[in-house]
Amino acid sequence: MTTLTTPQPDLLRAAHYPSTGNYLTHRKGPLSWLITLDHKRIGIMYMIGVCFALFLGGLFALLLRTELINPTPTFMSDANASFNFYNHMFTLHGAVMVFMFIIPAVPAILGNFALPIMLGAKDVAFPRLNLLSFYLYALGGLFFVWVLLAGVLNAAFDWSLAGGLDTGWTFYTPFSTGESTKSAVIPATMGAFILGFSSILTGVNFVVSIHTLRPKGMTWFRMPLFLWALYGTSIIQILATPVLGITLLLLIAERSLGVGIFDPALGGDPVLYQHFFWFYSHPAVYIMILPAMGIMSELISVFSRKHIFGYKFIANSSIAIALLGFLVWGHHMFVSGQSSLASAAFSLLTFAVAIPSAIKVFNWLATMYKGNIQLKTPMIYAMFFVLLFTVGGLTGLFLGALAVNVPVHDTYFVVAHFHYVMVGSMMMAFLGGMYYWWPKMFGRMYSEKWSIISSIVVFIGFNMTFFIQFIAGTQGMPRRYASYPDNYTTYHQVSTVGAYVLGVGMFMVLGNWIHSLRKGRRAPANPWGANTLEWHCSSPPPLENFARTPVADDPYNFKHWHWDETIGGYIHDGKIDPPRKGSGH
Amino acid sequence: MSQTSDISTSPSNPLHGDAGHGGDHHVHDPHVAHHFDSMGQQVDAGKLGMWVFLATEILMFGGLFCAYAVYRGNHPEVFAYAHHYLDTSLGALNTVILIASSLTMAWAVRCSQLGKQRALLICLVLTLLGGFGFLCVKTIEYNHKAHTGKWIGSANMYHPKYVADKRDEKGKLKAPQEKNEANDAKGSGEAPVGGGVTTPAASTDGPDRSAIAAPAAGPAGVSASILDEDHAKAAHAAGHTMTYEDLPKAEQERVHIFFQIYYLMTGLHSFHVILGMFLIFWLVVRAAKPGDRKWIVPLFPAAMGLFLVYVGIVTHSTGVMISGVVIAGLLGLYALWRVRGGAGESDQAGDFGPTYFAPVDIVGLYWHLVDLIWIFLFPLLYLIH
Repeated sequence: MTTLTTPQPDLLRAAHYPSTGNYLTHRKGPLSWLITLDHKRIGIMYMIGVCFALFLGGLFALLLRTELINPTPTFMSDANASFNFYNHMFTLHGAVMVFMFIIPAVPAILGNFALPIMLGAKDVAFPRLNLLSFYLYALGGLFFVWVLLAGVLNAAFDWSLAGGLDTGWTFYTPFSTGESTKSAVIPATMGAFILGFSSILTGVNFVVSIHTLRPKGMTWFRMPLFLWALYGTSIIQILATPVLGITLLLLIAERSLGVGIFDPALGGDPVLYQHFFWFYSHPAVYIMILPAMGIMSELISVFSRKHIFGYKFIANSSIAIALLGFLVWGHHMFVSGQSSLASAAFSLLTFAVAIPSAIKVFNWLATMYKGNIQLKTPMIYAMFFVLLFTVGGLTGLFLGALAVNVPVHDTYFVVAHFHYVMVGSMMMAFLGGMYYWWPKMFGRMYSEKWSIISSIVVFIGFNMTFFIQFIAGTQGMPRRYASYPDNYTTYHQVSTVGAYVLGVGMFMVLGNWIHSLRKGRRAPANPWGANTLEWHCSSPPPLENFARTPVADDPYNFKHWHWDETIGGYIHDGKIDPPRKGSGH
Repeated sequence: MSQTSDISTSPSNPLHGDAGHGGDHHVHDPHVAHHFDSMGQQVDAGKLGMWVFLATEILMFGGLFCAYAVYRGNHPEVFAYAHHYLDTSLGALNTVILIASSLTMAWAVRCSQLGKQRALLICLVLTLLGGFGFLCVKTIEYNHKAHTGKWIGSANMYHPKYVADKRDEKGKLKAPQEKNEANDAKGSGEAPVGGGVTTPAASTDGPDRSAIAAPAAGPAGVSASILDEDHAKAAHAAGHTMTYEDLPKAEQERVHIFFQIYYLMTGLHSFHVILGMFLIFWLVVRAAKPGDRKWIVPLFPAAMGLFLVYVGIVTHSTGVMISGVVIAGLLGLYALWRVRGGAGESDQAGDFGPTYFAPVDIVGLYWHLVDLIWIFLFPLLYLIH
């Protein structure tokens, strides 16, 4: 065994694919992780980074909610009685959560881990690109840490040189081009730009992998639906993220050179910035939710022990959402002064997106109908998802209607709506997916009892935090204010207590995972009886996943998996069905 | 660890889908990365990857094209007026250079398919020279504008902040060449078009003022200036007269936006040209015989050094010139030393041949896209009517 002390060229090449042990144990030492090209290890490294981002973003959220517990300043106002630090906090909460948690979470962790195995492949198409995308993620994260420190220095020592970021995560001009203490705008936009690159590279990798690495027997319409969802996500990452890139570059040019393209004082157009920004950032909403929907299709079918209902509709609706998602950005700008014709068109298109989303929900419910539902932790999160996504999605329709949007624009109603989609839906799906693939990732089972208890705490905390914000919003509570009239006090206090409950729930989840890593019982190869290819290899998978490329079966045919009490998992009876009628091309 | 040598073929290079050379796999072609089943699959993956990447590039430029369309749609007079400051013949020259380099690139792909090692190298080097030629012309264009007060950001004389920053800008822009130009303009006695173009009221002050007279920021009555000269030239070229004063007041304040868009678009494009040159140089190294690579590698940075010398000469910047001389000199000497120190006479051919030419193909795709973007930029920016 060579020792891993210095990186040598041949080590860089050879270290990745030796023969012994599973992917976690075949090589030891930090270096073997840092230079790995293995998609599974890269997924795990992403997991650490993304969970850290989630922790930071959650901490910011708790600070914000604590400030809001009283109508009067609680602890965040500085010597000048200004709320700069509060503004920094909600900006960073948004930026860190969006760019560093929600967007990368499912594709970069679960996608990286599961996609090549689901394809029966040894790795993604471009392993080095994959590692590069991880390092870009880490670099982008460092920029945000810089921004955070600048804000803290500014607040703690009134050190205006350090600045901070108080533009909101959208970097709207002219906030972001103004003269005030916003010296952190450029590092923050650089960070978002680099994170965007990371996201693009992941998307390129996934699209090419799905096109070229599918095994024998896996036609497009026999792919697991998670892959369809990741494919739709990747299309958005590829086509939308470069527009964000150029927008942020223009913003940097605006600040550093004063080019004035977005600055009305210099003859520019600030609304153009909003168009550019939302041309990315609305599709980005579907970068967040599509992979979550893909996880749902897997979980609901597996834990209902029933073939997914309406496979082709779910698959095509993923692509429909990806494409329609490009045509609705203007619904963020109903009060920006865009023409009323444009607003009406965007409103109509927004309703159109609801159709493929609803198709998915109905198909999941139809899958559960008369299924043999097993209330394992992933399934519980899946059911939370369906409920919360329905609330989040339908309130999205309220907001897509012009007549409702105008009065509730920029109120807590909007805040509650997108938190139902992003936390209530996407994070529930992420947690469900983590619990689902956890035994495969680490070869350990977790305490079912504690994971179910923690899921219920998360659910209660979430709803307590955000449901009441719908009411506060319809009563007129505007977002982004640190103080408010007394009549909103009850709403805010309930919401704040809910946020603490949610925080406790999240730490219970973390504790549960750590306990599983240390004490969990060994996981069988297939604890759930699922039939996608990753459950055909051992837990955790060996380095190159499969000794030889497997032949794919219908991913939702569970008939041949039988429960075996002795190993606590399912065993395949070795038979292969002839292809289902109509499931081919 | 007995299997290590079996499976040590390096995985594909990101983006290009080729395998690192030097793998010693004894079953597959050494150029096929371990996670691909066949060369065909690898080539498909690499090509698709590059096409997808090109889609992201188009979308990225798409943002700028969109900004262009919005401003040109809303302010056509600004574009009609300001584009006369761009030098159409230099733009056309660059178009020719880039199209020619696309030809040599396509030829290079063909040569690699046919296994013509020497012709492949020649074509690649010619393509590389095309890239340098493009940058050289661009340097002349940028430099002329920078020295006549039409640079990016608030260094543009039409920029509302330009007057306010005049003192700073003066210091920056008072280059010797500019004085000469200003004097020439004066001397040539070319009559100002449109009855003595008094330059923009608020932002009138061309950098030439520093050379001519009027230390105070008096806006009125600047006559014999570079601005006028350019006006004359521009009006002459266009066959009609459009002056600054013909523009509505609100549009006058937006003239600088044209230049900003011009610099952002051509700047981002030039950056892509430079990236493409790095990729082509990487191909040159791989196409060369392994024994020759050690002296070829330092040549590209040396050429970049020469380019810096050129930039230094054009912009009258001694610092740039000296650093270019140092870089080119040191690396050139190093290359020479490597040539002398044992020219390893290995007969091994370069990496590319009829069975393995995907990297040439894929870099070619990228280079053609860079070319294609310029083919849109040229008429959109230079040929407005």
